[in-house]
Amino acid sequence: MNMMEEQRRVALSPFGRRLALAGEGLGWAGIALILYALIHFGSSPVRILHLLPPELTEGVRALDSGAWIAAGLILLISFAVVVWCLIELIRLFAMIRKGDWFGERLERALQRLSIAALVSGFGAIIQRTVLGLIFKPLTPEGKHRLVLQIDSDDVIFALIGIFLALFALIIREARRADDENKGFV
Amino acid sequence: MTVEIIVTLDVMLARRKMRSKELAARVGITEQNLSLLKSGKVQGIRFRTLAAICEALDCQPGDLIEFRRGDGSGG
Repeated sequence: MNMMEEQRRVALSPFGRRLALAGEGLGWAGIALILYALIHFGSSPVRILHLLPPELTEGVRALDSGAWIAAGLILLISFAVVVWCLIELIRLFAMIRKGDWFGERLERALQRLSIAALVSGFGAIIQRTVLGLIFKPLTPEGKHRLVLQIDSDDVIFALIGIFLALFALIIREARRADDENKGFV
Repeated sequence: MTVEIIVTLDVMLARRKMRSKELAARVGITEQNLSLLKSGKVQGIRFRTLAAICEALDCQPGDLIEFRRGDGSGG
């Protein structure tokens, strides 16, 4: 960390630090829940079916091993993306707690979180379609369908991603203004 | 041809026989910032600072800064 970045460290109020710490704690709790869900749902084809939205699994009685592995992999990827989001969020909270909330590191962390949120939002749309295709051979004749579904959660994730990207730009502009201001006496 | 603003604050300080430390205290800026100003290593000076320096040294802004062309001729 260069000297200018070091100078930008501004200690938060105790309340702010506690809030950031709570955010970190919630992030870790989220990761723990996801790991539990992975073990719980991944251990049985029937449980995977229960995890998926009913419109995707309508008419599917049981998964064969191929479909189970394929669906498991798809879900694993989506879980991994959510874990990635949470890890970035935890890092962001840690930076804020340590007073590093105006530097380049925070800007990069915001950008990474923004990308993670966008991937999560758009990935979920693709995930449903791919899962629908995996289950297609398992559904009875006449119930085959192509799933193209946009959920409100996907839109919210995408909006959060866009907001975070914009916030990273705002931080950059604020830092530029701060640098400029520092050149004046 | 380059143009620049030269800070002549040190000349004015010498004329008034005032130390940088005293001026910094009167103006309300740090000695470090005053040193940067004297060496011209700043991007700008706030009107508030300029006014305070003019008051402390009993001078005009033109006594503290000077416009020069790079080829050496005066502005």
